[in-house]
Amino acid sequence: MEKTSLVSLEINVISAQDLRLHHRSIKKNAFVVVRTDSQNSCSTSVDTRGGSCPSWNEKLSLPLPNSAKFITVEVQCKTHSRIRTVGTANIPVSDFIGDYTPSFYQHFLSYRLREPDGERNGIVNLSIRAVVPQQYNLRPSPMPPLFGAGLLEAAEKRSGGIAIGIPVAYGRV
Amino acid sequence: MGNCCSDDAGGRAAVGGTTASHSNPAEGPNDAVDFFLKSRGYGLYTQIELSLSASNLRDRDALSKSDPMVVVYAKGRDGKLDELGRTEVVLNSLNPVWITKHTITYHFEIVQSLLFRVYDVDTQFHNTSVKMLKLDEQQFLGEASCALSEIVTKPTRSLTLSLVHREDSSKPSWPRNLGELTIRAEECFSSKSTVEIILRSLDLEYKDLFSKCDPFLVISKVVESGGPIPVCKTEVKKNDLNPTWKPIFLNFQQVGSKDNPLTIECFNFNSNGKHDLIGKVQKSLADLENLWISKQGENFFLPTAVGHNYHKVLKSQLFVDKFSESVQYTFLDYVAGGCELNFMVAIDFTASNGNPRLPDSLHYIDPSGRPNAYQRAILEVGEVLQFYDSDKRFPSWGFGARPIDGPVSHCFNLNGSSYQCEVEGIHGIMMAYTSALHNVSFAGPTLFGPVINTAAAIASHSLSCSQQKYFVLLIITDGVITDLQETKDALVKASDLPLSILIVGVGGADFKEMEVLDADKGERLESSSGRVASRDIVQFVPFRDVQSGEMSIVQSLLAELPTQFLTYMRSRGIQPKS
Repeated sequence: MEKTSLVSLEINVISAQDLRLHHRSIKKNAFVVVRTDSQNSCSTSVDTRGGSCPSWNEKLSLPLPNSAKFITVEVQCKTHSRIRTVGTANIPVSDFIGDYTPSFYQHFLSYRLREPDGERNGIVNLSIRAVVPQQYNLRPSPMPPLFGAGLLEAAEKRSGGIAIGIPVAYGRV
Repeated sequence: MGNCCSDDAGGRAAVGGTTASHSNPAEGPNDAVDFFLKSRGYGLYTQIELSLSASNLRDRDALSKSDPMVVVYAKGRDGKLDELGRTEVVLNSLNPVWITKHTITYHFEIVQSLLFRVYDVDTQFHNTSVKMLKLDEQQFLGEASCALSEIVTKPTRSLTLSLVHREDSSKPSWPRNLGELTIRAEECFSSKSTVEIILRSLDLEYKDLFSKCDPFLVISKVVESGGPIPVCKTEVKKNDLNPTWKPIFLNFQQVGSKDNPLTIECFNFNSNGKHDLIGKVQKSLADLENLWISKQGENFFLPTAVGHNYHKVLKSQLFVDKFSESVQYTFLDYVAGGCELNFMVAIDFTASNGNPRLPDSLHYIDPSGRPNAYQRAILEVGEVLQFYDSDKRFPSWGFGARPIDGPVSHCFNLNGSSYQCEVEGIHGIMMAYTSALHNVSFAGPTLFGPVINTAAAIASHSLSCSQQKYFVLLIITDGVITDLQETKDALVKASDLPLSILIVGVGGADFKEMEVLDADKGERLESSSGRVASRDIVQFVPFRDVQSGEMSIVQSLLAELPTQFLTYMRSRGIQPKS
């Protein structure tokens, strides 16, 4: 079992928009939980003013297990009685590690949130940076500076890629 | 106060100041003119001041040295000269440094050609005003020309040109040394410092115990003539006697300077527009900074009846919870620091363009030299962008055709090479284009995905170098794309990279479907895996002929580029290299 993680992630949870609970815009108290595996998770503070477009601008730091293929970002809302999940986004690790960008690059990413039954919800905006120890510096895949299209197609065939499954419930997409 | 706002929500919103960080790149001296121009499609502009000096001028006077003066012209596309101004006359010098500065508005999206003519002013005219001098009565010493963007892209922001004898003269040019002219450009001083302030109030006193207090602040600058001029106001806090307002962003230029006195007034919002003054404070930005450091509060006061100097001091206090200064760099700061704009072009070779040998084809090369739509689009964009690329090597591709001995390719190198995609200069793009026309067989369908992915790979690969680079991909197409979702996927992935994409549609097709790619006209792009574009990098415009004098439609595309560039740089906190 992979217990060690060489890479840690600096995640800046920026904001979200168009958040809805039961088809109605939420009024306040949204927060975000980021999970890299079942044991590592971190959450932001609650935004009491933002309504359905909250902003947090909070930095979270999480270790990324070597075997992890994606991280989970969940937007939750504190209502007076309990905590409800507004929507979830699964971010493949390949979106911020292992593409042609250098490892220290700060990726600004945004994802569509999905409710547990697959319905679309709002969008969450965050930035992710991988912090890699010096000796393991992940260099971007070597590529000659001037290249033709053929090489790129061959490069793309190399990786398997991640398949994101989106449950299709009741025919809705 | 009397400022009635037509809608309650509008009245309660914060107004003025500078919008936070990324979205206010324009630092023109006049915000109203700025907004006017922007709303009519003119892009970001800044004022540039040109200073001139010369060395080794020819000696024309027999008894003393020349008395030189420079006349500055703007050269139009048709060669027409428009005089912009004249320097003063420097007496008796062959290495003059002129004091008169010329202010020009820098437009990123236009190639601004300038012509400088140096004259030796005859002694008999030395007491005449420079404006009145007749140039044909003076001795011509030489001329030089350049584009404004050539000057501002130099790291030293100064360009030295050799003076020549009449550039378009029919006489054979004598290889005499006429001297050199040095032109220095400086952005007109406009303060780049912005400060973010969070203000809070404690114990606001409100006389009427039965109604609620909805306080808001108005910050005004005090001017010598007349009363204070409002600079910005905060949002209205509902029913709060100890409010903390949202951060205010102020540019030092808006308030005059850090030490200029400001009046901060706290009002109680009233929907009928008559807001009651709760109290006021007079502090400069420097005082507010001290309040923040000392964490002390400043008491509000209420001016009493007119004529008395005595103010009633209240127990309500104003606190400064945050005071943070930052510098907002302009587009030219990055350019002067060595950041390059790399131009890339992709051309549609699908069969819908028509047989290129027939005159009704969009790819027809007119033997009279008149450029076709593709050539015009390449020239309009390339001519502006070429100055921002130091090595002038442009990756160029074609798509939707079969190169010799090959299957249909949706991203083949325009130069015909199989291992490298760059051409030299705009001229190189034109040559590669015309030769590709003869060497490929048009096919289809129209797919953008492969070209965008290739451009994105180049952009992301450049992130490993220390030099700052930003990429601009121009896609010229005659038809509607058939891989809308793949294109969206490619665009979403590219939105995180230093890349902007300009799509120009030529011909008469209905491009309505393409407008969905431009987030200005629709929603944020979403990929098939649920990822959303983190910024809007695409602009699409159908290429139409314009009447003379009107700004070309492609120019309006280019005008947006500095804004996209600055959004990218500022959101990542990337600063220009000094």
